[in-house]
Amino acid sequence: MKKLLLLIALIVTGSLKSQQKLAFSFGETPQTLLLNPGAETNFKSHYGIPMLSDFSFNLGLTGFNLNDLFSNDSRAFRTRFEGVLNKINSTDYINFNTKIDVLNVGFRLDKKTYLSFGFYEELDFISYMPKDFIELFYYGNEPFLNRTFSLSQVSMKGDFLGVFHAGISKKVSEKLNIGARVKIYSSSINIESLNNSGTFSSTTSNENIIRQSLNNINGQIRTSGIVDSDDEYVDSPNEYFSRTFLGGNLGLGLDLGLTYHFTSQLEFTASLLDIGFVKHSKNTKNFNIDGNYTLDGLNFEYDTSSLSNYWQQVEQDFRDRVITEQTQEAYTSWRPMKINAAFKYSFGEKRSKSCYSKTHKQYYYNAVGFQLHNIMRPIKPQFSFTSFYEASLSKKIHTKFTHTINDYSSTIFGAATSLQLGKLYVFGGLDNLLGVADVSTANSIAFNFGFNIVID
Amino acid sequence: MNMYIKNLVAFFSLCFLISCTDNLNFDEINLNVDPILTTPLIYFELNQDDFYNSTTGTEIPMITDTSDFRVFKSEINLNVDPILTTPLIYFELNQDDFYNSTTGTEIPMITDTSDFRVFKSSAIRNDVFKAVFDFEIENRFDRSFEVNIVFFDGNDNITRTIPSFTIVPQDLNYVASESIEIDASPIFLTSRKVRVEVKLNPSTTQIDPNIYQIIKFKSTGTFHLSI
Repeated sequence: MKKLLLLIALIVTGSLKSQQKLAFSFGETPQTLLLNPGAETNFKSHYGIPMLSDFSFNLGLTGFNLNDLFSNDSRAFRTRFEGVLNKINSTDYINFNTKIDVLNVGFRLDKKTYLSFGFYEELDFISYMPKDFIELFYYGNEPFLNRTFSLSQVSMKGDFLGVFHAGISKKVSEKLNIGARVKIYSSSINIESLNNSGTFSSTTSNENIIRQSLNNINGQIRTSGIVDSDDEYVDSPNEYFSRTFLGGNLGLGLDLGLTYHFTSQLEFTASLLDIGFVKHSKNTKNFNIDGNYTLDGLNFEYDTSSLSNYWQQVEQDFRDRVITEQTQEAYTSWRPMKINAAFKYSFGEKRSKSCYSKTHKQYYYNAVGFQLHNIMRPIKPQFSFTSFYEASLSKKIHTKFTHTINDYSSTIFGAATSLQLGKLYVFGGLDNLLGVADVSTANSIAFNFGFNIVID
Repeated sequence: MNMYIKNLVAFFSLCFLISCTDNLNFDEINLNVDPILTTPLIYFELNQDDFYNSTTGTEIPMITDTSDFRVFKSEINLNVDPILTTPLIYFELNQDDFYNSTTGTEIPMITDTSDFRVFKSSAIRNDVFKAVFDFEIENRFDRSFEVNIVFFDGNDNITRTIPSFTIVPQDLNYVASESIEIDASPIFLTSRKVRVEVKLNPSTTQIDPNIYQIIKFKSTGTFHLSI
């Protein structure tokens, strides 16, 4: 048994690839409450170990993998880069997310109510591949006569923020448990370029050999936090971190969740996370471009009575028709809302365990089910479908095995576990068992673990 | 007792949050990563016969060997070589552009000039290694004419003269191209003006401003960059 415990502990602490969705509906860890405020809790109180109570890291990319760029073969890097450029399309993306739970505490208010609150820091970045403009930059426009390059492919969003939260989980009936969590966001950095539109093209023309056109260009980059009040770029880590503690641009958010038992064996859980926004009004710096322009070249007129500086005319005409500006306008940034839902059917040996207030909870040693996980992203939602099998090896060791289909792959096999070492609860997961052998060929790298003191 | 613990937890949590905002000193964050990497390098084993030339029966006083040393050679070597094409000068001239209605005489040559600011941008100037100019000319005149294109720097010194084109009457598809290798002609990067001369060649056929006949001139510049 000790060897088994050690093995599981090694798996947990050595996990290099997992995702937070593994922890969803995995009810034996306090951090489940962050993924579903309506999750059932069976403990009296919990105290997350500061900075270690929940740590997750997720780096994912679609369309190519590291091996495509850095494989150890005789091809020149340029050849590999061009291969990747050929493979990707404009809906492929790079996504990075990490969360550090700085503080997480919860306690039972009464038999039906559990309160939890805390603070975590989050860094989130997603950028879609603007294939048109990468190719335009890399090859130039000469090989692409009559091709349209779309500015709408430029879509990215990056956030660094602190989140203060307080949640309540309430048992409404034997069948239903609901919960909510209020969040105050303190944004340190926000950079986003969304909803861009318009095209650039070089086409054959009757006026000149070619014509260049900017059609209905409307683009913007909005930033907050990268410049200070004097419009100087901030280069102090101190300032970036301190602004996450209510010193940045503030926002408000809400998580909602529920757990419903159709029968003692069939359970449905669902949550909506980060229904919220941040109002950016301090230290903003925005860049806008808007207009139409057609360039046929310099039209020499050979008019001796009025000599013209054609180049200057073209430049002025461009400035008049294509407005570029920097502003410090306030703006609202929406948080990427997450939707989770899971059906779980429990079966097998029925056991009961001691819970708070000397009550007992009955549970089954095995369960199967499926869950949906969706994050609202700028161009399209990131959707995952996971089927899972849960097994309790003992009262204190619970495991979960998953198969996930998402943007990254259709063959993501994962495992998660939580174990109880006295009052210490440890949880973690590994979400791409097949990718462990060669990380370079995997499309996502992630890990998730946590250490909490739980009082039953 | 329960209330006591809850209050205690709340108190400590509050203290922690306050300490985060007031007492944490992020100025101390100064993380210089100075890794020291050790790697095996050269090793060898020599016998006495390595210093002995058995053919001449003499000692070899010194032996040497060499190897590539590629510690600092990065595999990532991505040169971006975009080719940018942009429309340049174009014009359309009628016969009356070569006719002085006041004097009733033919104008043998007309000239126009403009700024040429492509190389004012250091991004282009530093990375361009080749410029190609393409010309398409349509001559519906019953006269041949010559086109002379000259580039100048900011002080009106000639930086490049494109060889003249002579377009025969009714040549509707005259095409020409001029390629400039910057290495061979770096002075071209100082070009700031361009002048285009259109010169009618002498002929017995006279210009008639009352007849609509045109010359069409089109051009593009293609700039090969290595970034």
